[in-house]
Amino acid sequence: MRVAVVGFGQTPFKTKRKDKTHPEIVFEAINSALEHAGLELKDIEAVVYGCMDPFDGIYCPERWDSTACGLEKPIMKISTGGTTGMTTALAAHEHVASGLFDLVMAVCVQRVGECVDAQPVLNTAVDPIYERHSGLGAIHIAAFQATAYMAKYGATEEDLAWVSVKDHKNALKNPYAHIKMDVGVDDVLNSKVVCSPLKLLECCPRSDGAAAVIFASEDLAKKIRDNPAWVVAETTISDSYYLGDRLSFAEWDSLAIAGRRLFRDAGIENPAKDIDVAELYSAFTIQEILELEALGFAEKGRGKDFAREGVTFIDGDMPTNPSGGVLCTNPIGATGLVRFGEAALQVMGEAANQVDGAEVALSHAWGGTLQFHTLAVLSSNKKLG
Amino acid sequence: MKIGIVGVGFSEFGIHREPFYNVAFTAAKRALEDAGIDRGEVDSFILGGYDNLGVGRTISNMYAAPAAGAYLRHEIRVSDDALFALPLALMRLKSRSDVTMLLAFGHSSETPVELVELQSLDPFFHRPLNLTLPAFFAMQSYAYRERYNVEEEKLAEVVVRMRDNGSENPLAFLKDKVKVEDVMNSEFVSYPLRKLEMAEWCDGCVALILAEETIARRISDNIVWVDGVGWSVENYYFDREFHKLPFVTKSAEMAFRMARKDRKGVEALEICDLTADHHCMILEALGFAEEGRGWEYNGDVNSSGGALCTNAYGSTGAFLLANLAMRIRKGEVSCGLVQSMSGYAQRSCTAILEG
Repeated sequence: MRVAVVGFGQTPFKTKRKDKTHPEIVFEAINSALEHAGLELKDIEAVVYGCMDPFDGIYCPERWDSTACGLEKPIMKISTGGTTGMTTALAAHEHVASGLFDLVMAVCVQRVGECVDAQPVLNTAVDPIYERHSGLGAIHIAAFQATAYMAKYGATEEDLAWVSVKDHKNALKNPYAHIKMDVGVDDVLNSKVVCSPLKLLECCPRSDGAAAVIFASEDLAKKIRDNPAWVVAETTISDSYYLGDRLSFAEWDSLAIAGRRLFRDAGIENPAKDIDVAELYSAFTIQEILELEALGFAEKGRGKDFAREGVTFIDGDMPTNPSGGVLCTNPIGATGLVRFGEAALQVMGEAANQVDGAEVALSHAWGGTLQFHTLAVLSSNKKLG
Repeated sequence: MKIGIVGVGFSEFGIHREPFYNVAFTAAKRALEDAGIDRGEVDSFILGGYDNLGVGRTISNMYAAPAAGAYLRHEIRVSDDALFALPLALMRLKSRSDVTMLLAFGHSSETPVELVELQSLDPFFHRPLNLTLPAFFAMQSYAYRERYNVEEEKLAEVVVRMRDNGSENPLAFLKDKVKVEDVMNSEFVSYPLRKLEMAEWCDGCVALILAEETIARRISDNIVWVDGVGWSVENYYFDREFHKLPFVTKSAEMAFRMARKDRKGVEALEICDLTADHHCMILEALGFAEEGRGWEYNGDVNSSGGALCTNAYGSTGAFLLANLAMRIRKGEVSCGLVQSMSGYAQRSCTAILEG
């Protein structure tokens, strides 16, 4: 059964949302999505909810937040680390694709501003015997990637800085983005080192906020709007547990495998040609470069040149993260759903920072210690393959 | 399209001190062996279990997914009692999977569950009350007993029956029989609930192999079909009627509707009796007993011993599901209902199985 996105809503993202409670933030995103779709909450048959609880100072927040989702509806909670937003979207997609429901909402929220420091929380995910004592968190892992890639392919700090420049320029056009700064390469290079070689302006923020996406079955989608975003293909992949078991930090081979499966399902032979825009989970500058290469948008060792050469800018041949991406907005458990929703807006032709003529978009999230990837291709109805 | 269970694997249920991925691996391996298939034949993995405070670490599917065999495969975790993962497995199979593994994991010994559950209460109205899960369950028990004049002895008899059942189940955590006097003389946890009237936390994993009908028939000639699933949510706030569980009714209605069946066809029940009072209230909510009379139900309920004998926080619902599936496979019953719930008696999931 064909499934489409018919509504997307998000809250403005900030370091700390002091003005609203957990369910009130959820409610804000839900209302925004309903308004976009021209629907009411009573129209929604089921809800899939995503959050990474440990940051928010409340355990199993879906219980409290169910008060914002419509109490009469079946609600399912998904949590898979950084991929949570995307896996929540995929689970909501399954609700409709299975034929069990016609109209389902995915909603994700994060209130990471409640947490003093996210990195020690993330450290509890790794094995307590072999890896936890090393203090591993997301930043350190990305620094491994940057170091390995720079050593192997000769990338410079300036190459990485250009990714930050591009994302920050894009975020200026996104009314919901958290970090809005017009930065140049020198600003990035002169920002303080967080974990060598990564500097502050190369690292994602922590954001409070929520997002919601409404999925509909084919007939209903056509009735709801004339420009639905069709879900062409989706996939997830789960790698081994231990970070030390990764074959290389200079390549993201698990993403390459997932991408190959995704494109096969979507009927895409040449992703660089067939995909018009990508919302990638690039929480650190180096990750966009690795993602471009793993997904076949750039040859190995060439991803480092893309931002500097303008390829990934909004008017380039392969625009990435026109929303400003994760580098400018990161409500961790909702970040993936923001990627998905922004990709949907692009193929609907309604994004705040619209890529001209975008018909096919890719959205991506990664999670764990580089362990998980979730991917989807959305289309305005362009025939692929 | 029908979806069937073709393999079941249990770990031991108890307090596990070894690395928990080994426990998950045991259940997954046994399920694959039971189905007679290789890991490579499973295309999707749906995990069910808690996260962070509930198992002592965040992103718990990081260690559970590889143990299930999900290496380089599709995998999503439902963060709840694992019976809530069954609907997602079912939907995945209906939309695009041939063979899916549902891995349920519960590792409550890592964490003080009562304190953890307290953190699920909103920080404004409920958390300051310090109302722990046992205290809340006790409020429900009090309301139930008062409303229907249910004698403590009747509830003790429920416990005795369930512990008798558990003593016959080699998979159960608590296998010792108890007498009515034992129950009634056991210490109060929170008035009026006594220790033996409440489920005791343990650890354990269950894996089930599910397949789409045509594939299922190639894998097994003894398939247990999942005819219907339903899940529901109750008002989060405590302005509810404590003596009944309407959300359980709702989840059952959804499952019956999907299965196109009614209660008459159900021969056996596996229900999540976290307390003796819940045992009665769930039977009543499911429509198998009149209000206030659940204690006298003498039908086929919790032959596994139920949650009162095995309650691995996170995998309890899947334990009940797998036990019912095994009975259907053995031909002891042809159709059964399994129910689980989570939170402060807020969420319920129900499934109808048939041989």
